[in-house]
Amino acid sequence: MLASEGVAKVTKEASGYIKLIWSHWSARTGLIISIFIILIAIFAPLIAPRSYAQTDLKHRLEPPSPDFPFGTDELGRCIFSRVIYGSRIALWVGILVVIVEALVGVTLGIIAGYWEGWVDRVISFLSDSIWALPPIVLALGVVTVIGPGISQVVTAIAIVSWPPFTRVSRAKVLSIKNREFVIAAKAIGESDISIIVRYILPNIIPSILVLATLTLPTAILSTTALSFLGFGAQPPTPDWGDMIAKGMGYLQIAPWISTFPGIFLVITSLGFNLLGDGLRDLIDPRLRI
Amino acid sequence: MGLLQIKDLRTYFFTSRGKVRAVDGVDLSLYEREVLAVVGETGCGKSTLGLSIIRLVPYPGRIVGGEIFFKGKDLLKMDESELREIRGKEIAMIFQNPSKALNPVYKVGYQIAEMPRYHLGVPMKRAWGLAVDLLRKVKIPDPEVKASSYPHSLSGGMKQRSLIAMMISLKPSLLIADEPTTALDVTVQAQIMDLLKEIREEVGMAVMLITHNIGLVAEESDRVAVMYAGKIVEVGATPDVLEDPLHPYTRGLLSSLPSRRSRKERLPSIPGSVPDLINLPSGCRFHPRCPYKLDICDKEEPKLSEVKRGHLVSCFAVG
Amino acid sequence: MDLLRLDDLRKYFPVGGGILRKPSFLRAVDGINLSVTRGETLGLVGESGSGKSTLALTALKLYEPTSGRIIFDGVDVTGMKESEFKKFRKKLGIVFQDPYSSLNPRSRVKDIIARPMKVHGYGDEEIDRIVKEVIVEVGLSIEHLERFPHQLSGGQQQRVAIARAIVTKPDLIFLDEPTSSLDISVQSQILNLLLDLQQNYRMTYVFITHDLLTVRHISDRIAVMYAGKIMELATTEEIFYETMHPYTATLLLSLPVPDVESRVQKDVLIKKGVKVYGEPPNLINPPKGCRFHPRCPFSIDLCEREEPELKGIGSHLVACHRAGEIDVRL
Repeated sequence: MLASEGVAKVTKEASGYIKLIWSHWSARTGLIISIFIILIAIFAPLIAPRSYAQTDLKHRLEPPSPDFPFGTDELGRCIFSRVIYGSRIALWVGILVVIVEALVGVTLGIIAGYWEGWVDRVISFLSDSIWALPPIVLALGVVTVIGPGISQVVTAIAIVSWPPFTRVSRAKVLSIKNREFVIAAKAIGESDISIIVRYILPNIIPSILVLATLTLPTAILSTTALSFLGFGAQPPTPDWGDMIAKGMGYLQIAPWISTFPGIFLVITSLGFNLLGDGLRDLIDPRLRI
Repeated sequence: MGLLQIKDLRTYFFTSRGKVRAVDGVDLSLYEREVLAVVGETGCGKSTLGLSIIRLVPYPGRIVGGEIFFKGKDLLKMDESELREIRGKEIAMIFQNPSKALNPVYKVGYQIAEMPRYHLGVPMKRAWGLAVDLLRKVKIPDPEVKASSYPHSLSGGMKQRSLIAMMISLKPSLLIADEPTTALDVTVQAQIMDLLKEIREEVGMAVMLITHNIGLVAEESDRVAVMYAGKIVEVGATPDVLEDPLHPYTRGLLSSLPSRRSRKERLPSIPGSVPDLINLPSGCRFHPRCPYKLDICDKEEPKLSEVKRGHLVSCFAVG
Repeated sequence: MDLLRLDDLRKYFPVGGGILRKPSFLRAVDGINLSVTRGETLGLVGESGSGKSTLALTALKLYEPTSGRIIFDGVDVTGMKESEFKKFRKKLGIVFQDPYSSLNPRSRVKDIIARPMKVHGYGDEEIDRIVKEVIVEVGLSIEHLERFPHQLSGGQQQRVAIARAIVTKPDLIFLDEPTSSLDISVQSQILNLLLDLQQNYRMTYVFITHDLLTVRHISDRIAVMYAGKIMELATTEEIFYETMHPYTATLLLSLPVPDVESRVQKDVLIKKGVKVYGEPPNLINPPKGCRFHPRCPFSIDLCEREEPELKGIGSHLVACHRAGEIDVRL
């Protein structure tokens, strides 16, 4: 098959999916918002008028104006620019966290679901125990040990948030494992690894994707929370959580320092939540995937 | 004038892919105390027909035209409160999967007792007694114990019997049975069908038996209507239709069944497959698969006409 | 020589055990002795809970047998590890009842059909050639190869499943209710396909079903199963017209038949005392003695105490204490 034919096919399939998402209110709105935020993150240098670290002590704590659309903070930095660049941090960190969580969680879930027995009991026990504990508290514990910083925050959140991925993938593996096409695969002589990779994985990916989309906002919020508490991004990194925290002291006189990052945080969470919600509705009945 | 008179019924499903013309102009009569089988393959519209009569067509389906006269009154013109009086009391319906029809969190006796309690205002104590009697009538062993049990502790056959008990509690004039035994073992099926026969005779009930099992049609029905792609293509007394099928579809269907003579031989089969109800063929819906196709068949739709006494066909080559 | 022989094959499933409690066992297949000759079609008939599907899956070593032996083409494969048994899988095939569930929804038809060959190391060119041949043989066309299962009708899906089963030219194929989920008009198409393929490739079929009409049409011999055991094993003619086991007679009486001739014969059975009653058996605590005795109009004291052996005259085997005395023939 020619490359051009291949591209044409993929585009046709993708447009089919886009049309489906467009038909669902929640998915459509979520998609629009999410793409909006993603585009802001990608094109940050073009959108933001100034660098996020650029200070201007002559214009400290100024309210929003044409020159500084979101006002300035105590060091005269442009809040608008900082919020725009902050989207990069939020998304980047959030996505990283979700990727790590998914890799760890899904691997454990597949092992537990496919082989069952004592392996399953151990993994499930571990998964349930960790999930029972409040993630932020656990993450705080981890971060106190390994120290502050963005990558440390990512590690900490990922370590404590993988259980949902394990649960979902384990449940799906258990339900798929006994479907006839898996039995048929065994009947033709496929090995366990081959069955997991070719038959089980492709059929659980949609559910995992939905979960990932729904977990992203939580990941962003959790990392933001840790940053808010001072364990995450170190200044001058424009982390939204850090900005909100620093702005708390000025709420009476310069509420815009905390408010704008807060609004963007809410919008981002909402966008991905709506998208994930919509995807979940679409996945099962209509697509029969 | 029969018990049930359906005139030009149309029920369409408005899906995102298009308009599914599930029931597309059906005329059918059902007489008192008879068993009318409605037979057809998947997607022919027989289930939708049953649901339309009792007006429980699920979204995105809607009855878009026609009349359904039950004891002289048009069901399609009634409002919800009038319909609720009819459902259960005059017209009852049982479905293929008894597990799905029983509420898992209420005792079986309670669910059966609901019928006389709701429709006739019978107090609980007496209604419970009625429920136990009904369970006994449908030959469930230890009916007192079973009435106090939950659905999950009953087998498939017993669940279906319980549903039958529920449905006949108010002695309806018409029972619509949509594939009532498809999900059951053949020995259980035989017992359920015998039970239905007994009850039918006792209550004086008519039955619309919706099925794809020709054997069941042959043994249990007085008349049969054959449906294809939303329309009735043939209707008549069961022995007439089965022994002397007129419509090419009916003939194809019957000759494709394995019988004693056919051992290890190739069975005649109808080429092609059932049409998409959104994109139907022009004219007669069966024409692309019909060995007797005439010129007119892809231009005009045939109408049901009486070819022999009581035996109607909708076909240009035959009618 | 027999292509397949099963010696006292049993498959039990543990049920409801815990850390402190010993589990009970669901005795799905409970001592089956069966042999299949090359080229024949053996019908395996039974209702739900009879064990017929479990028997197929156990014989194919998709379940580990609890006890007994499986001898395929003279070789005892019972204890073989999967790595050793893998080469035998080329010679075995299976087709399931629900065609959609039996195909990987994420794979294209061409990959589904190619897979068995890839697993057994066929060359790419050979695979490509065979896939194109087989798709036409099962009555589909080349353009179907690019499709996904959900884009095909039930009948077409089943054709793909059959294609997958025959692609390595197996000797023996198990068909578990292959037409039961399909429309009547499609059933005959698929049965015809199966008969054609059997003729062209001299394949052996074990055809599992509850539909007596279909099994009569396609089988040479029939085994009737109930509660994990074989009740009667004989040629198709003998099973239908020289029935010896009351359960078989009950099945014949229960079966709704479209033709008048068969219905008249049911009256004969009723006159002889055949009756349908009772519920399917509990497989964890099956009835003592003959498993069918609670539902058998002919049962006597002996039937409640002792399990009858499967034995008989010539090719016609029955598991019934009263086999010679009672008459349940049409």
